[in-house]
Formats: sequence, structure tokens, C-alpha cells
Amino acid sequence: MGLAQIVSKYSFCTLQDRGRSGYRHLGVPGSGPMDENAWEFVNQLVGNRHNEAVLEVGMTPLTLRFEGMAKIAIVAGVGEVTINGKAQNQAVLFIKPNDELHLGQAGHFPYRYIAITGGWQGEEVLGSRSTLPSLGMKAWQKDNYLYFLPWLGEQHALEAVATYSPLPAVIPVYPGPDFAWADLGVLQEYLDSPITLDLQANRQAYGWVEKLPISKYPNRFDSVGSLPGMIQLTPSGKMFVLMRDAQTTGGYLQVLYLAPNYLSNLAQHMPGSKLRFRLVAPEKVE
Amino acid sequence: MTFDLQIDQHEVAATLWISHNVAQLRLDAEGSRQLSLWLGSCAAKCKDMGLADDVVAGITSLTFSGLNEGSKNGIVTNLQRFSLDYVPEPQIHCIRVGYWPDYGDTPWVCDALGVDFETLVALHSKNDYYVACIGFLPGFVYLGGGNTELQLPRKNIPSPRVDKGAVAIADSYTGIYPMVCPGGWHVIGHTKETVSQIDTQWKVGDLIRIEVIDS
Repeated sequence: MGLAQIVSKYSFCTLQDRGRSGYRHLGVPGSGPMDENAWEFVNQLVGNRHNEAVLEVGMTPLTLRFEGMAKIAIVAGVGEVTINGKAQNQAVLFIKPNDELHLGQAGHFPYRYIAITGGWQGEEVLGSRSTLPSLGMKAWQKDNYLYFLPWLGEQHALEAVATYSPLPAVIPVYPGPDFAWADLGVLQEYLDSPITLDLQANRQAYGWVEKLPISKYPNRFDSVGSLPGMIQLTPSGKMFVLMRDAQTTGGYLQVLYLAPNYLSNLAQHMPGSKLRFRLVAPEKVE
Repeated sequence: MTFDLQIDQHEVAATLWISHNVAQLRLDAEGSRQLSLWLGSCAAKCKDMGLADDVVAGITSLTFSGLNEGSKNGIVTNLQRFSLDYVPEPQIHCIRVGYWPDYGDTPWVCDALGVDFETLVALHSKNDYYVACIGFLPGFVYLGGGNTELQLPRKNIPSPRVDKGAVAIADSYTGIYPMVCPGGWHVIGHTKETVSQIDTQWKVGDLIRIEVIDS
């Protein structure tokens, strides 16, 4: 088995495959990669086709010291990569024993993905390698070892630089189950302005700095099932989008719902950046 | 979309929200033992039928994810058919709980409620609980059906650390913590029988009995 040790101080990474499905009734969220498009693409670059686990790297720099040869691919962080100090411009990289791979502080996208042929190895819980601390699975940090299958393949490099889909200018949102609680005019005006992403944005929720002006809120709200993409409103007017590791039940109004295929795009906005949303006409939704 | 369902011989108004491949049913009713029984069984049945990848029962709701075009069109019909044909079959689980006068928040709770330790144990353990909700964390169980004399609001400042297996109360529910974590509920007991998310048979609507054990 090949090994790669994390030697960088503040690293906090998770392994992600497609995640877990079918356990939400036990309180287990689906998890999976924050950016599904990048995950799919990076796995394809190394020829993985069977839900292999990818290393999801957060914003802080990462240095991996490899013991063993490897073929890897990196997406959404290509401009920031060095091997043994030498800048790398290609998405697919060939690692030799004792090579040190370094990924700098995230510049454009908060989530970077490193795929390896055969996938990163690790324990499966409920059928998935996606790291979830509340299932007793630990995130990958300094001094931890990552495992991979030995690679003995060919050495020629692909010439392509990983192109990454640009972020959409505007993200569509749809009415949620509690849409009627918001004043449509106020909501429309709120969504017509840029909205700032919280600095604390994480795998559970992406909060919005600007609050929605609200004049009414239920006294009591029974716990209801929640889903990634659901946009919740708290009594103080705080809005937040539930992300991949969000808890499976909640006690807040669910006012809007993000189009599922845009959740990955939303995830790749840097904390503190500005977002634009577009409310899809309520009369078009049943 | 609104329609009616027959639940336990009562007509209940229901609203269904559908978007993309998810849906949520909200019932115009109060949470209750009978309602949780219906919701939990309905959720399990919908999932077994392949209607959705996941169905989560809330206190008065069902949330569906992983629907396909075919199952989206059939939700209302399936729910109405289920509400007519349904025969409740709750499973009964027994958990063994230890209570100690100096454990967790017990001293504070006794003081706040004006009861002594023995009374607290009796009031808490001698109830027919039912699983009202599972969420917040994998395996975190909300039990309804507790004694109304034991109602306390959540802590303003959560405790930074609650034991795995802690049995705690807040509002009208008893919660069982499945792992060490911060917690805002008042801890009054401990059980080794936490819901193991790997091979649990627990579902919303199931009945829970408490057997008091020593240490």
C-alpha cells in the first residue's frame, strides 16, 4: 500500500466519495463532495469510474509527503501546486517516492480536490468513505497518513490543464415549503441585491451576512426534515443554505430551495464573497 | 398542493411541496403518539416501495429525497392509499437507564422542579415513550410521551460536553445523545443502549420503555 503523510500544520481535509444515501431517517446526512462537478472531473482524469474516494482539501495550504509512486490529479487548485518546490501547471501529475506535493492557500475556490488512481483508501461507514465526524470518522490533519493502492503504470503526462467551469453569475432559487411566510415584495428586493457569504461557511451551512427583514415568525415550529439546498430563515432574519453535512432535521422556516445542480457552484464561492440570486417565478411552481 | 388524508379515522388536511427531486408533506395536526406512529410507518413503507431514496418523518411532516419523475406523480395517491389501508405496528424497545442523585444536571433539575431524586426517577422512567423524531445528529432520538411535570426549557448556554448515552430532557421531550458532543438539554440519566446507526431497528413511532438499573 502506498502512503502519503500530511506534513502541513493547519490542514483539515476529508475523504469524499458520492456519500451515503438511505440513512437520513437515522439522522445521517448524505455528505459527499461540496463540489460534485470537480469531484467527477478529477476522478475521470485519473481513470477512476467506480465511486473512488477523493481528498477534499479546504482553504489552508496542504503538503503531502509521498512514500511510493502515484498518479494523481488536482482540480480547482491548479494554479497553486508545486512538487518539491517546482511549480506544476498540469492537472495530472506523476509522483515519485519521497516527492513533496504542496498546495497553497486557496485563491479562487475554497475546495480543492486530489484524486489518485484506485481512490484513496480508508474505512467505510454505512457504505461510504465520506468523512463524517459524527459517525466517529476523523478528518485528515497533520501527521495523518493517507493510503493508496500502489501504482505501476505509464509515465507520459496529459497535456491538458484542468479547465474548471466558471461560477454562474446568478444562482436560481425556488420557493420552499414555508415560502408563504415571507413577504414576496420584501424577499424579491432582498434577493435583487448582492448577498455576502459568511466567513464561517462550512460543510454544514453557508450563512448569509445580510438579514431578511421579517415581521412575523411562528411561535412554535415542529421539527421537520431538512435537505441540502434548503434555505432556512431564523427568527432573527438570518438566512442560511444547508450544505452536504447539514443535520437531517431542523426547527426553522424553510423559505427557499436552491436548484440542486447549483449547490456545487454555491459551494465554490469564497467566504466573504458576494453572491447573486434569482427567484424563479413562484407562479411557475406547483 | 393541498388534499386530505385519513389518519387514525380522522380527516387531516395536508400540504405537499415538490421541487426538483424532493418533496415535503406537512400535516395540519398536533404532534402525537398516533401521528408519529403513522408518519414513521408511512416513511418506512415509502422507502421500501422505492418511492424515494430517503424519507424522514418529522413531528408533523414527511420529507422525501431522491424522487424520480414517476414517483413524484404518485406521491399523493400512495399517501392516500396508505392512510386508508394502514394498520399500525409499532415495535417496542426497552432501554436500561441508570439514574444517580449527583449525575449530570440531576441536582439542578430536582431543584428547578421542586422534586426529590426518587420522585424525578419515578416521573421520568414510568412513561410509555414513543420515538417522535430522529435527527440533529446520527442516532439522536427525540422521545415524546413524557410526564408534563418534567418540562424545562433548553439551557441558555449548552454544556460543552455531554456523555455518549446521556439521557436528557428539554421542553416536552427526552433525548438520548448518541455520542460525546456539546448539548443544551438537561442530563438526568445514562443508558448504554444508544441507537447504533449501523444496525438499528428504531424508527419514528416505535415505543420505548425504560428499565431503571443501578449504576
